[in-house]
This record gives sequence, C-alpha cells and structure tokens, in this order.
Amino acid sequence: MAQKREWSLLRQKPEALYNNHKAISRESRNISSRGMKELIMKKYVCGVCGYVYDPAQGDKDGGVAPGTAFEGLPAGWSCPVCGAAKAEFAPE
Amino acid sequence: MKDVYSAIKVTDNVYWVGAIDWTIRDFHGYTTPHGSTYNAYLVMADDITLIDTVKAPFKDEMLSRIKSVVDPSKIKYIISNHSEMDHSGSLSDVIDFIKPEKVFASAVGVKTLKELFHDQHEIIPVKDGETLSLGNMELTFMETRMIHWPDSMFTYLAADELLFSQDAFGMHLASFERFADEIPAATLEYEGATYYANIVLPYSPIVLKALDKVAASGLKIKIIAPDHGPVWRKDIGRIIELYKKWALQKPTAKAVVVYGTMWHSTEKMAQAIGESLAQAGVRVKLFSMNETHRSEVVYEVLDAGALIVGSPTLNNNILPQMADVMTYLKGLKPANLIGAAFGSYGWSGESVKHLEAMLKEMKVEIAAESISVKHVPEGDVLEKCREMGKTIAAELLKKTVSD
Repeated sequence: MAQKREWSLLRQKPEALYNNHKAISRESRNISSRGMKELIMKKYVCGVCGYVYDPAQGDKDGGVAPGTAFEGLPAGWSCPVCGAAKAEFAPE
Repeated sequence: MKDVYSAIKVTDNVYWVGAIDWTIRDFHGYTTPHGSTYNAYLVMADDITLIDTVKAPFKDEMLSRIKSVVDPSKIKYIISNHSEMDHSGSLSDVIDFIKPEKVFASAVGVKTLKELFHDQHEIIPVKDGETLSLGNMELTFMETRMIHWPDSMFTYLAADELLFSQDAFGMHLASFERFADEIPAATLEYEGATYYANIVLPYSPIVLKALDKVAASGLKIKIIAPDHGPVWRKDIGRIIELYKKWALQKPTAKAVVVYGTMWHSTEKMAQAIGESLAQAGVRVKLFSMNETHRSEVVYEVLDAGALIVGSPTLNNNILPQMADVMTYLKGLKPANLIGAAFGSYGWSGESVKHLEAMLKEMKVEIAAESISVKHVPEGDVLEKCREMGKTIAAELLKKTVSD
C-alpha cells in the first residue's frame, strides 16, 4: 500500500507535491508543539502525601517559577508539603 | 482475677475501649506533662468492628475493656485509621488474639503497617469515599493524608453521625473523664492548641482543605471521637472553629522572645526587647531555653505575630539549646511571622548571623536589624534593644487587627 501511494505521489504535479509536503510538515509541527505543551503542563502527584505539582503554578516557596515542567525541576527539589524526593512523584 | 478495666459507652452502638497513660511525658520530643490516652472504639454493629488499637504495652488494658462489652473473638473487622505505633503497636498481637475476618487501612496505611511490623497479616486497602457494610450499619472512609501522616484517614459511622478522626481534634491529656464537656474549656483549649502546635501545625494548609472537604461532603457530624484525649459530643463546632483558627495562623499582636544565655548578657538584651514591646502594647512572652521546653515555645508561637530569637556565640556557633528549639520550630513551619535576632559574644560573634539565616529559612520576615554586643550590654546597646522592640511592635501592630 505504502509503495502504491508513493508511486501516485510521483504522478502529481510539482505544486501539488509541494503543497502536500507543506501540509504534512505543518501537521507534524502542530503535533510536536501540542505534545511539548502537554509534556510541560503535565501535573505530577506526590506518592506520599498527594500534593500535586502543577507546572502552571510552579512552587513559589521552593523558588520554582510558574511554567517550569516537572522534568525541569532541580534534582534536589522536594515536595513542599511532606518533603518527599522528586522520585516519589508520578504523572497525574 | 477480675479485670479492673471497663469500656465507656459513647453512644448506644459505640464504646470507648482505649487506654489511659498517666505516666508518659514525652512524644518524640513533645513534652506531655499531663499524660495521654490511646483511644480505641468498639462499634457494636451486626458485624462488630474495632476502630484503631493502642500502644503495645496497653494491649491488655484494651482487651480487658473490650471484654467488659463483648467476647473479643466476636470482633469481625478491625480498622486502622492511623499506623503510628501509639495506635498500631498492639495491632499485630491483637489480630493474632482476636482473629478478625478482615483488617482494613488506607492504601498507604497498608504499606506503612507492613514496613512497621513485617508480619504476614493481610490488611485490605480502602479508598477515599469507600464504604463498608457492618450489616445494620455502614462505615465510610475518608483519606486525610498528612493529618498528620501519609496513611491517615477518618472513618465515619452514619448511624450515630460519629466521626472517628484519629489524631485530628485530639490532645495529650490523661483523664478518667471521657468527654470534652466534662473537662474545663480552658484546659481543652490549652491542651488542644499544644497538641496542634506540636503535631499538626506543619500541615495547616491541608487541615483547611480537609475541613472544607468534610463540610462539602454534607456528612452530618454530631460526635468526634479522636485517638487521644476526650470525645467531643457537645458543641463540636467549638473544636472545629479552633482548628480553623490554628490552621489559618492569623498573626496577633503577640511577640515571643526566645533566647539562650551563658552569663546573662543575651538575657539582659531579651528583657530590654520584651519591655519595649510590652510598652508599645504588644503581648510578650519571654522564654529562656536554659529553662524552657521547646513544646511550650511552639504553643506560644501558634498565635504569635513575631518571633525574636537570641543567642550568645559559643565556639563560633549558637547555643545548643537554641539550635534545638530553632530546628524544632523550623520543622513545624509556623507561618506569618516577623522577627529579628540578637545576642552577645566574647570574640567572634557569629551567633546572630546564624540565627538570622535560620529565621529567613523559616520564612520569618526580618523586621529589624540584628543586634550583637561584645560581652555585657550597657546603656547604648540596651537602648538599641529597646529600639528593636519598638520597631517590631510598630510593624506588628500595623499588620494585626486588635485582638
């Protein structure tokens, strides 16, 4: 099937081929930016006390700015409620 | 031999079957001059259920109280609301003795009990909001993580509108009076606040959420049965209001001056600061850590608006009794405080710098420049101390509503 589609692409006019390529790359760009956003905005829950780290909020008392992804937290960061290590957290 | 212990009836269905510890004076660093109780409760439903157990040495006292109501082997279920050893220390032996059909705890409680006792008993995890039928009655479980351990949960008995609240709303007070309404209100408030300050304080934001959660759940609560101290059966609104107040930690025009002293120089400074705070209309408590227990300080800090700390320099550091209380206070996370540091020294004078750094770590807002003096303070230094008192008083009175 895949091969067949490629042959059919070759039969398209150059502009059509170009537009098709643009659409595909636009789509993939959208997916990746959406994916990135989801990754950054992903909330993590402390397995010990249930505190939820929300990247949109950050952790003011811990010196973490809003918009910081969980992955971007420093290694020494710990739960602001119970003090559990970063490793105790799991995606919400 | 006839057993000397008896159960005490809480409702037609529920009996207190705990233990009174008249002799305990220390809970991991929190001094308990008036002893405590370890409360366990027997629910006489179709399926008889024991809510919590007691500290290990009090197992026989609990079993004896149970026997005054029912043959312990008739108990079908045991619920562990809180895994800490003063409530679970006898659990393993009690399970062996009673052989209940099932034992329940929160999911974290199940893990914690395994980590504590390393035994083979199966404990069944219950979820937040899950119910358990006891035949003619029903229990509902409510997770209350970090009030005050990760495993903590409440159990609600709808039939009696009764909340088994484990350590929440409790106090360390040994008494034969089993109900709060049999104990003077001032005693309840003092012991309740001391317990809150020494145990629950760091989790105040969670307490506020839990109070909202209970209110939103629409559960009707007539009786609160905690794991320490008396049962609340009249005016439970009072203890709930107090919990709200303590959790909010709204600062009042009260300053706590805490210091250690070697040759009374830092003490002279503390007194000058205290005098001027009082003259400015602030309530003041002075504590020499040479004589005072840390638990008492935390009780006073609970409703304070300022924390002023002093230490002489000892071997380039602060006095060990000050390190003690500062470590304790830091862990308990008192909020909304302003403060300052002071102290005397002989040659190097690092203490004030250390104290100020500790205050900042505790998120205490530094409201006056620290004062240090070489050896014994005289007129000009004491005047500076009085100024510090004035500055802090002005700041405090600006921040607080009159109380």
